[in-house]
Amino acid sequence: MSAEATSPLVPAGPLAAARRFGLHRLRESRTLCIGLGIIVFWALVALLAPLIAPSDPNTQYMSAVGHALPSKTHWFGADQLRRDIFARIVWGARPVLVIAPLALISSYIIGVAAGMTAGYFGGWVDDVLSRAIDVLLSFPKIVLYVVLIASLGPSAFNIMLAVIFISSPGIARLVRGITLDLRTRDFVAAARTRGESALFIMLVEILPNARGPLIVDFCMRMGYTIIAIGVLGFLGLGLPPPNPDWGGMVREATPMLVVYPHMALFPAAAIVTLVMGFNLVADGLQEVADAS
Amino acid sequence: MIAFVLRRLASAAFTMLVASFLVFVMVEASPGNVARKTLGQFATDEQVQILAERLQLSDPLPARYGRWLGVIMGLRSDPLQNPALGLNFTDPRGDRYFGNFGFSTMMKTPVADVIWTRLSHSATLAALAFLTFVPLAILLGTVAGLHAHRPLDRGLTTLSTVFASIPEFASAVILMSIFVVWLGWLPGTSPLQVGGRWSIASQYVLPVAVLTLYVTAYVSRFVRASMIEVMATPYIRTATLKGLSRPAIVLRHAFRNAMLTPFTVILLQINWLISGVVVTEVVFAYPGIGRFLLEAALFGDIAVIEAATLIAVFVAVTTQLLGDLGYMLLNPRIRLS
Repeated sequence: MSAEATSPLVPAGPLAAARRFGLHRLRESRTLCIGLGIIVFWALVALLAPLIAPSDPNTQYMSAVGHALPSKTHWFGADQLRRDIFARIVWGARPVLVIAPLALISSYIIGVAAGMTAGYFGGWVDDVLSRAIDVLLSFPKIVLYVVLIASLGPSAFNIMLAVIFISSPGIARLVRGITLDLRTRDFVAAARTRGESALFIMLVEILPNARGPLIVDFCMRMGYTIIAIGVLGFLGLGLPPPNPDWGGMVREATPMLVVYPHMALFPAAAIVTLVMGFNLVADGLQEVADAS
Repeated sequence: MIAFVLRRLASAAFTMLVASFLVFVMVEASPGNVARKTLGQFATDEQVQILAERLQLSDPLPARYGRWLGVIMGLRSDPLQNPALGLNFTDPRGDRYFGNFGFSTMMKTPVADVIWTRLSHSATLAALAFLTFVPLAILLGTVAGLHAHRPLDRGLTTLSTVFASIPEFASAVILMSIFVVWLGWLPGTSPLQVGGRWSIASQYVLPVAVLTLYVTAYVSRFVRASMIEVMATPYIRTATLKGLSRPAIVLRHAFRNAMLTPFTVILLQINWLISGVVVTEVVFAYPGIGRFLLEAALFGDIAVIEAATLIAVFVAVTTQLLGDLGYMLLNPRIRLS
């Protein structure tokens, strides 16, 4: 698989690109299909939120007083402030599906840059970077999230900053390991002999060959990040109210659990399914990679 | 080997030192913030300014970090405990002792009075979870690994993916709906108070279950992968060819070697357990150090945030060190080289 990507024998064109990324193997893994299905479902929900739930998710319905349970008018019932839970879940898909990928892509840019530099150059550069990574990874993640958000203040932007700060070191460590392995390969030696610059070798020779494990890692990290955003919301450090936030919805509903479990169960189910989608895709991709 | 141990110890100490600097920067980087949070929101700007001057908060960050570390290590007296400031931060231990984390503005007592009890509660919860998930993960991982790529393995792997997708607060809500709301078998909170309707033991069931669900799924994957790897080695083939029964092969030859990687994984992934403990404690109102940290973070209690974070990092670094050393002791190839 690794040799194929740089080989001139592979024909160009969209079909070949799809083949290289393993899209034609979709049918080989049911896990991958189910996972992708779930992600596409939630992405569509987030995109089409104004069509699916046209009313403002912060509307308080007087008609819901005393009728909190799921009904024909409020499919998932109403919450403690008589707001429609269905609409809040639909609109709540937006912040998660914007914050998590954006933050994670930024983390990847930083993590890949740091990890490749450390792995490719070695020496004192590697020592310094590896030490920094060790220190950052020695913190339990949730503890770091709590301290960071507590001092920065809860907002979408600060949550993204926290995700970047906390995810990049793990990505850097992974990329460093892959780079250490790949830089001893023949195609890297060939590029060096051709007189290519270090930057060119890292971006054109090493990075494309590292994509397999990185894509799997990205999907798993999406899962963790969505969990982390949910946990922050649940701890009261998430997106500021009243805008819908799944973790925050579970938090607000927990005291009412004895009377109305549905208020907490629906948003919890939303988080679980979305995370599961990404974990299934990661599993499926790994399965396909192992099989070939 | 002694050289390896010493080098590993030195690197752990270094990590701890840099981590403490990071904690200091995250919490105390802005000088005005420190004085304001110490005095509370009802202090006037003048009072805040006077305190900032007395504490020399405009000094460069490294100098302030040095003084701060000196107080914690018991090398300097805590400036906030100076009676001349009139803050009334009095500590029966004096103002200079090892582990002086300062004064909690939230609890109105020295941090050292509360934090160690909280830590021991968390340790109990973590230990109970550990005793539950380690055997369970090893059992499930081994069974899946021995049936690799067969329906039983696929079922277990899918199940572990499903459980690894459920964050603690979600599984807590689901379990509470079933066992507290619907069946009424268990209490929904675990404040560790005696005399109510629920015994202390019953208060531990749900928190331990929540932690176990999440971590078991994660660790059993490593056990499975490791088992598959070991079962493919030449010495297992030899054992099979010389006619040993399958249980004998698995128990005598495969198991010990397959446990090497998961052993480190379990200890190295202690950060997962600590993170999980924080959330679980908050869900069940359990009086541990994780909930203490969150309360302090929401309140703005600098001293407690710093103390709890430093202790969490210390626990993590120490367990990782033990994991490395244990791995070395268990694996002769590393021990002898």
